[in-house]
Amino acid sequence: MCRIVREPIDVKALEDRVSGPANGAVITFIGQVRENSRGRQVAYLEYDAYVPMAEKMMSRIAAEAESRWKVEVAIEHRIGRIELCEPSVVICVGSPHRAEAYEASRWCIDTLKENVPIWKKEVCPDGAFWIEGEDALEAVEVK
Amino acid sequence: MLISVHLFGHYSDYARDPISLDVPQGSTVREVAEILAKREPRLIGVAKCRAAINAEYCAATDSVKEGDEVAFIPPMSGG
Repeated sequence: MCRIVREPIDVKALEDRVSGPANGAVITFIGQVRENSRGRQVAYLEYDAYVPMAEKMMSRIAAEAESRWKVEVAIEHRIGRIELCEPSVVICVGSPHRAEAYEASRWCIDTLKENVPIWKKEVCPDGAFWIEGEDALEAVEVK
Repeated sequence: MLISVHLFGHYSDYARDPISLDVPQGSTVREVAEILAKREPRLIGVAKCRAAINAEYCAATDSVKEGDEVAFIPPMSGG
């Protein structure tokens, strides 16, 4: 089960899930918060998700990757406020050999970004902006 | 009939989540979007979003049933 979490991601625990003795390669992808976005200075991010669907989609992505490349996959995405340099998403892939792990890892993050209902809001000195594809839409106070 | 609607991205700023909406029997997802936009004009863009019924992607022409959970899903930015 691939989860949406609200606390800091335990990267080691995710790696342990795919590091059994059959696997000679473990690839860990960490997506983390960076300070600059399209020329804007980012103070921190806030992530929101349609949680039941996001967990379902992430689990399907992991299952598809496991079937296609014969690897083991663990994925977690964090929501809520996330500070600079903190992980927002972690994808761990374990495989007997590294080629399949690299390919599966890349495919998982690319597919997650296209299909999993999660959104980030960049909180900057001059305001907060929801990122929707190529667009950055100014966030307003909730009524 | 009553359905619930979840909004995300900047649309979530315009309404408390979830919205309880009374829609005619047999309404399509597209018609649900139109009802939302009449209620709150800032939601007019949801008609262009991907949609989901009960956490599964669906077509705008799919119909909703009593108690369904509809989500409008703007371009995503996870990862």
